[in-house]
Amino acid sequence: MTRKFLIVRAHPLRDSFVNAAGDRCVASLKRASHEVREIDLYAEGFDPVPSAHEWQHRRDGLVPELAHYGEALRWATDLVLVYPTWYGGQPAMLKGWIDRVWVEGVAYHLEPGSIAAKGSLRNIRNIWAVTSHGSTKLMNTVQGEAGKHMLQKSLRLLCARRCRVRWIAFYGNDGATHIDRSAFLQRVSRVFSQLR
Amino acid sequence: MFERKSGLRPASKSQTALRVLVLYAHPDRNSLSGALLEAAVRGLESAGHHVDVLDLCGEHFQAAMSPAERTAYETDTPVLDPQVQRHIDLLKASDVLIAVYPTWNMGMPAILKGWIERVLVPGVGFSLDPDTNKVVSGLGHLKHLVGISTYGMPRAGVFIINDAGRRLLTRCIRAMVPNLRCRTHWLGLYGLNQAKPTQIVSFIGRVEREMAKL
Repeated sequence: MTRKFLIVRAHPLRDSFVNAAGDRCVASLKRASHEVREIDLYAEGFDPVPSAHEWQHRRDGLVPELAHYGEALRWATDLVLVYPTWYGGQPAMLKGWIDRVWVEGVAYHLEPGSIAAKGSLRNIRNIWAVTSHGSTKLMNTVQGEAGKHMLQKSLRLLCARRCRVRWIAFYGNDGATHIDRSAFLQRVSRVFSQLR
Repeated sequence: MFERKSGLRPASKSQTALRVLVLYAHPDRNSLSGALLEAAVRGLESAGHHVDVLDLCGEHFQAAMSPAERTAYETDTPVLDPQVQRHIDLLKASDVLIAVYPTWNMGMPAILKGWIERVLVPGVGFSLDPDTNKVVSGLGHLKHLVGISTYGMPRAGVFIINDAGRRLLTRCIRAMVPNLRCRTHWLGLYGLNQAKPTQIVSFIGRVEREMAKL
């Protein structure tokens, strides 16, 4: 079965290591004839900060200039986030994209007076993270892996009921060798070419 | 030792004035977060502390690290933006760092996350030892780290889902402060989706009182 993959990249440099991993992901998916759509937030000049006006009208849904992102989210069966982990979480660029696009009317509905929102992106069955960490796995565990928890516990609840978070992460990039990095790239290729 | 039970230590008479840097990360000054900012500043100033407020949205702080900055990050001169340099100078002169922000999607708004990424660069927040690749802390002068935030969800929900913004401040940033006596304080207004006006008013009062005791 072909699946619909939405790739969202958030690294300032196109020739970076995580973008290379993203390229492997896209190539593998295309070879397996899955449908792929790509968003590169830096290349598109996305503004991660909502204006005061946008915040005051947050209950009215997505602002018109971001409508295509909402449409892409409703289209996808798989969301792949390609980003460097900075300070334990998603970079500001990606966090801003989530804040501005995953709004009421797109990602969830909030009944007046209810405790928590009801997710509405039931089409997304998997959230993938392809990410690299400068520090080691141990250091990240101590620091709490906030970015991983945000995907597993916050975004996942807005997606399909059995939505899974697939964590494809490279740790210890500060001290990594060329061999470690190419092994990670091979892992990304392998994971995304074995999907059915 | 036993005085610590109540969370914040009562102000002692011999206390010296602190320099406080307050980060405000909400697009609208007339919001509830804006009221919390004002309450915190009132409390701090009533205790005689010196307060600097950085209104990140009001200053049009650039949230995302630019490609040029990412390239410079690994050199000896990672700061390219004069605004970032001004914030670094303020941070280095401060004893207390306070973040006032709304929790969105269980984390801090992008502009505050971006501030941390762009301001706490190598040489400011931490530095990497070139021989061992170990992280060396750089924020040893901080005596208090404070987070003041609002949440749509009730506290139990936030606890289950995990509070990424709080983790970032109380674990990631705290880990950069080698000063063992640096204390973290968290003031959260939970369950805003269902909150009554009286709860909000009493929380604003609590923020002012707690900040006066710092």
